Amino acid sequence: MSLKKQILAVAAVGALSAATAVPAMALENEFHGNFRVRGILSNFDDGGAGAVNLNGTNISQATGAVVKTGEPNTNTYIEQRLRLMYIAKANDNLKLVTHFEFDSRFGDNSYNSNNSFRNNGGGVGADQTNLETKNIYLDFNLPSTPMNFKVGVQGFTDAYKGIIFNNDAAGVVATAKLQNATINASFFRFDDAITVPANLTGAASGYLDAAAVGTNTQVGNLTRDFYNIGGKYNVSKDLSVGADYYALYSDVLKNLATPRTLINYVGANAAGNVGPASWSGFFLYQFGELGGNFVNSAANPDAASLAARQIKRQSVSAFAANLAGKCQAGPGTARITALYISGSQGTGGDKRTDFQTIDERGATTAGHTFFESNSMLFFRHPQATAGTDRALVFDLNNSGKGIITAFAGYDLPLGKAFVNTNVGIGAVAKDNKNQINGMSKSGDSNILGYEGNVEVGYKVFDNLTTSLQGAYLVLGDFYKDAAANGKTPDNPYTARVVVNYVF
Amino acid sequence: MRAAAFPVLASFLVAATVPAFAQTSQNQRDECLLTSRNCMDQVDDLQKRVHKLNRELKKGTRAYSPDELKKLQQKLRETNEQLRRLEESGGS
Repeated sequence: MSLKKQILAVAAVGALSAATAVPAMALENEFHGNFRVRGILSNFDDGGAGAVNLNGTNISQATGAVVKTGEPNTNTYIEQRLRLMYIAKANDNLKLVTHFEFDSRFGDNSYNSNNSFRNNGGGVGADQTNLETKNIYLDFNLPSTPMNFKVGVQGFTDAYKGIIFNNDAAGVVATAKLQNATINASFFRFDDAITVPANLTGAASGYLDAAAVGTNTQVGNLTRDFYNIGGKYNVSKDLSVGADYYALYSDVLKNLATPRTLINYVGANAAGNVGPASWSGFFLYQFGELGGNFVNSAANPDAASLAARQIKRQSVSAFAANLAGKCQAGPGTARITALYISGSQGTGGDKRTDFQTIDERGATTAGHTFFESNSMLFFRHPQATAGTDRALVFDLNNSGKGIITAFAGYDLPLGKAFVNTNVGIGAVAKDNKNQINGMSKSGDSNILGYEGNVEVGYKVFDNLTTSLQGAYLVLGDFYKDAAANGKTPDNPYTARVVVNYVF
Repeated sequence: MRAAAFPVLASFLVAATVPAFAQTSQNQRDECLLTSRNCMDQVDDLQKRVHKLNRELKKGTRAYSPDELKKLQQKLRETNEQLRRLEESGGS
């Protein structure tokens, strides 16, 4: 072989070697997940979701007869959740994110034999079809621009601590990161259901019935959509400010020749540091119209039946505000947060002042949260698992009454152990005739209750935590003598053992 | 001499491009197989990634350019967001 041929051969082998050794072309497969088991003893948690019904009954297991009203049985059960995330990452600028969920309660069901699929599979024999697809979306950066896009079914949390929307939905989120600013625009399609009624907002859901909801017979015709445009600017390393516009548009009622719903949110938020303390807060103003609601007519101002009411437009003018702080105090961290959600004296008139919240389609599950409270009973808890997702105030609209609440807490790390404590109070912002928790206001007070909770935990490994949680809620005079039997309902409590593995 | 150089060079190049098979010699324990450590193709769990990112961020401009630090900060935000999404309820 001549020298020239040898050089060519070496070059060819080199090129081939280089081609097979370029790691940038390889797909990086990432698996992450969270497995959580909760053992629960409670007269509040019952394996169900939604606002707790304080009229819960004490039922005789022997006869099935109701023994006492407002004094619910104590429930003891164990449930588990697995969330599994697979990310197919081509490079730092392109990845596909998928997120799955498997929930069950020990002993609940197997082989799909109860005709339920999701949130089941802990019965003897197991073998349940229970995989839920939570997210599937593409996350990519546009080359040579500061733009990032997320396209598909994804989790979205608003810039207002989740009180507008903190849930999963199908949509497109575009974000531009500039020097000290971030600008984002989003579009989500909440509902485009064929033949299945789609609800409007949490507040409106109480005024809709199946007969009043139009049937969507054409894809893209009757939809419920969510829009957002906003931004955040870092004034300095100790101060950031933001402003946003959100809109919830729904025309699910237009086939009935009733008005459409358009709720606008205009908000400002800020966060900062002062010495060892940090603070954050926001103000949100809401305006617009709720269409297709049943409103009492002038002739029948107190009509209870839907037939006696008119279907008409209601104008909305409402607001929400929040202020929170956190500070290093001694060996731990002290926290405080307060939230105001406006209520309405009545929800049947032409004008409403209660803050319109967003629900999932069934209007039984809130699409929003207020996890900052660290409440375990008053508000939804971030560790809600499988079927258990109870709260005294599940939907922040609170049947048009709104909410005034404040929570304070202290987080104490003790090496691998930790103790987190919280106390809080809540009251309705404005009372009206609507029922909450299965009952109407009976006492003189608007105070819903006082909560205390504590979590004592230990980190077995970096990513495995075990903890004991306990919470007790002293019901306020709002519920005095309000149970169906004329008595005051029992105070809710819960005790949970939690094992949590994140990887 | 020249003829002998070719196969040596070629085998060297080929060997250098197959790291997955060159991890352990005959006398080395396969820690990846035995204890899931020292795996060449492992992905950090999210807590470990947070630890590593915080550690690298602390090195500051001694080790990284301002742009690289921003990228690390962004990755830290994304990792914390991933953790939150996995653990928090919502959309259950």
